Amino acid sequence: MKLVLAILTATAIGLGFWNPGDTNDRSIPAGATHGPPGDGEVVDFKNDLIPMFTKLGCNAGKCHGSAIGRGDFKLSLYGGTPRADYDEIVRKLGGRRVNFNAPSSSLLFQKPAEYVEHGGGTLLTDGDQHAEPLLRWIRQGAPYKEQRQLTKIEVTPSRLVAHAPGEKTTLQVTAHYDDGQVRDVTHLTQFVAEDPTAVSVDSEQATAVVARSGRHIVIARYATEVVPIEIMVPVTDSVVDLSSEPRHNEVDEQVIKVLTELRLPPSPAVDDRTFLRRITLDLTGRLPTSGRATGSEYQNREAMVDELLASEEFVHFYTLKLAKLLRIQSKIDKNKVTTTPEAARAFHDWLASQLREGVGYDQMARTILTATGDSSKYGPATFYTSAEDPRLQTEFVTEVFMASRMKCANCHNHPLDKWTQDDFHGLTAMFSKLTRSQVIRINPIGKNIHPNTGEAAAMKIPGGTILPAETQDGRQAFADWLTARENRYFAKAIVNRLWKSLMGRGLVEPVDDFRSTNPASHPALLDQLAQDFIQHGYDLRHTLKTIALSSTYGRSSNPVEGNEADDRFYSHMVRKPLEPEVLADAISDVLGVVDQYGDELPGTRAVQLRDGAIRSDALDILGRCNRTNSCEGAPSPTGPLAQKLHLFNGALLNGRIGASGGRLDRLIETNRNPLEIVREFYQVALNRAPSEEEIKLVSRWLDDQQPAASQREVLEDFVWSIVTCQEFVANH
Amino acid sequence: MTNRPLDWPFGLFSLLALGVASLLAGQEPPITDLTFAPDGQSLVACSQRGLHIYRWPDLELQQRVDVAADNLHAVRFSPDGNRLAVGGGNPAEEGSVEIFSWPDYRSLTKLSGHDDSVLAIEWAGPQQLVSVGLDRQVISWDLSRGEPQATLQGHSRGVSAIGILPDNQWVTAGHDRSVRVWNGKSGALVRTLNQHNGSVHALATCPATVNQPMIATAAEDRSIRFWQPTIGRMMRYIRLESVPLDVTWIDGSHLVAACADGQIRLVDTDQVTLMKTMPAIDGWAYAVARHPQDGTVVVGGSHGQLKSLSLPSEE
Repeated sequence: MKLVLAILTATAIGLGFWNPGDTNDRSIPAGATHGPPGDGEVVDFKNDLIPMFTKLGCNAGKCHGSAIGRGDFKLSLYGGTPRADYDEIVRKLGGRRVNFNAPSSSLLFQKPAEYVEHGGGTLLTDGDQHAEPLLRWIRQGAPYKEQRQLTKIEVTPSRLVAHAPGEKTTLQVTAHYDDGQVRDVTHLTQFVAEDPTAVSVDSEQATAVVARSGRHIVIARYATEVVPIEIMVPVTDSVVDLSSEPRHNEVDEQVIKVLTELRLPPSPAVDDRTFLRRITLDLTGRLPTSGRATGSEYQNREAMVDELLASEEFVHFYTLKLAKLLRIQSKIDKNKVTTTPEAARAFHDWLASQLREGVGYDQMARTILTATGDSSKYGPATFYTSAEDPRLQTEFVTEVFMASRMKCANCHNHPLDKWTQDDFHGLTAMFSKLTRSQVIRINPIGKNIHPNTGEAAAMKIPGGTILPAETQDGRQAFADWLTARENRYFAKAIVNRLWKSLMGRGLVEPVDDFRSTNPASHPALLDQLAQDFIQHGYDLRHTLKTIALSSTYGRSSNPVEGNEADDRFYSHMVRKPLEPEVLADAISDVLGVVDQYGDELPGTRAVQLRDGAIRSDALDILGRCNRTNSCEGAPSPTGPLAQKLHLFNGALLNGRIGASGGRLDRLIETNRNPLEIVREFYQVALNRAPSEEEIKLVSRWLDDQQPAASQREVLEDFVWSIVTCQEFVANH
Repeated sequence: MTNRPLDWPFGLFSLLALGVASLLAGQEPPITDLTFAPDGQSLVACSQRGLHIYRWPDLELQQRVDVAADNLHAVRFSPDGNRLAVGGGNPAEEGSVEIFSWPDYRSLTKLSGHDDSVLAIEWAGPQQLVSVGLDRQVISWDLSRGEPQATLQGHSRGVSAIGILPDNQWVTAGHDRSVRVWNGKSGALVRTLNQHNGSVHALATCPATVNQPMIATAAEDRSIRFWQPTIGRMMRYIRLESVPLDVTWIDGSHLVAACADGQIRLVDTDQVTLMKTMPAIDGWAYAVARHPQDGTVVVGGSHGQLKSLSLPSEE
């Protein structure tokens, strides 16, 4: 079906609307050259051939761009190091890949043209737009030419709002160089859909056809530049009028803007009781206490949020969150760097004190990054005891504070981001100057050998300057750069985590994978939250409050017609499974039976544990994260099936539901009416009264004429159903 | 052509640069191997253009000889000096050795059996030649019949170098980073030496044998390692600033390496010290050969460049 689309607005550069009848209209900027170099032009190895190899897939990770190459032919991943590729092509093995006598007999042509058997199949044919410049380059003597430096590429459109699936659009890429030249490099650009089932891309024709509604990403790659193209297709046919939706702050403005574009109707706001349970769990990791049973006693929700943020329970819960982020747990291994239990507790206590005092996150990060001393006495020094070597430390630091997976750049320039091997090993060089023991101090002879040079890598700020050779401790310079107001990563990394903590899904997912090719679902919102966070002194509480008071946060988790499939645009609240520690505490609170954690004092709550390695069967069953690696998105060690089996029939619940002195036992022993008992468990566990239908259902099970033992058994089954139901084990 | 004395600090040799004898246009393919005729009157170089016969010492091109293979990688004179073997192939298709008569350059036979280019050859006797190639094979040829005598397999990647030791033992090395010692008679693998951390590009047997034969291997890991292969011992090694692509012994305690930065490096093999680094050509220096009588070395490499550097009498 061909739709006639209207241009809704005069679009800014890069923002386009799909025009299905205009698929071949590709205009290039005035003065831009088009297509491959002409016959008389020297073929530029870096700017013409390397992108061509990328487009053909030659230097992809599954082909010659893999770490060991393929068929004894190794190219840098996506052409990250053109000089090395030139040597590999022209010079290695006596120059056998290029035949100066008969260019078309060159292995470099024979293989992709499949005159010689080629595992990658036929990639070019005689006379096509790729074969011609390749052979001409050989005829020109296969020189290394790098006539100009690429400064940027522009993709048009960079953001599309289509009207329906099935429509096709034409993509165009323009390259800008340092000599002022502008070229249409669409023919040399590789287009890859992030989800090929959602968008069908014809890289040769530079067209994309979207298959279904929602937001989709296509990656355009030319030379070392990668740019995402965002494609939005409304979810419903009819326009959704959200002009009357409440907008409490900028969060709502941005979220509603996207909902409008996608024609996604939002779910209604939740009532005060539901909001109270949600916000209490999200900010304190606890169920609402009886004093906050309804939420109606508050003047408004802001007062409720303020009280929770000021509570000691908030400190406990967010210390746990930071402790997981920073992977605090004791680790004893005589052959490796170890974190002593004292060091784990010292770090945990230090974090708690920082939160209690309202210290800015930037100051906390600076203190941690520049820490030295005895980790068992000075908590921040523990940060340097968890990673086993300086390279893992670099991965850890960049994941935590920059939300960047820089580890790719250990072996090759990052294929989807700006990070180079020099960045990775330059940062590692800083951490190589530290002793890796309980006491963290500067080791003057520490060094990191750069795999490309075999020499000690120079300390380098990621994406920035090389530190003077005499620098002994580069961490202060790194911390200054990281926490500078203009840093692009630091503030966004933490506000995105705070957002996920409350909303269930990060604006960028995974939350530790920021890169230009993994754009935020709401980029402007992320920018604004980060700026607001910076302007308010990197105050975690401020950002949490901003999010919590938005109408977006207050939406029901129940979908309405039209937004059922939405899992990322916040038209309804995401149901969040309770974290293992929170669930363990909630079970204990509901059952009125405390759990025992290692040798901790009885009554210690799971969210208060100061060491992630403390023994606990309950936490293991509930899937606590092993903090040896990142806890973000990591699957639980036991897995959901094992967890469910334990909840169905395991000691975690069986022995505790009817335990002597527990809530149920006490209520029965005080001869409370069974329906009163039911109502109390509903209130404690779900912060609501049972519905009439639920009362009817439970009443059918309860029979006053039954013997007391049978009655007790029914009540135990009821309690079991309460603490295992989805409404209880999730925050919604 | 002018000779320019060089400041050679170690008092053993001094080099005289004879100058660039052949610096051809940018479209020229690289010279990949060099060898002097036994009488020292000619230098033979090979490249994709075929064989080039130069007159010594003025390096005037005397003859070009076409060879069947597209790519040539190795050239060696027979022990009696009346034949010249040229190894090469058509990449990813076949590898071959072509035998020419000397000095009239008639093609006598072509030995076909490799599945990819031959990278190195050595004569094991008047009627026996060993070739190694990118197809991972080591083939011993019976030249009286023009057929393979034995095929030795063991390398897991291409084989780039071959050396013949006394007592009919052969040493090979290659891209699997290994150095392997073979019994040339039975074809059995005697031992594998694995210390290199990168592809081995070249191998040279030491002209002076005291107790055990010694070889030098040059590898992508920028090291030159010295071995007593018959007893499986790596004696010492030196790491250079650039990848050595070819090595040749000057005498029993000195060696010259041609490197990927276009320079040559003189190494004291007893002390494993770098004695001198000399610019030779622009680009990669693939091959180095020593004149059999006067000690001059010749370097060949990228863009068909050829440069001779003379080693005058010992001080």
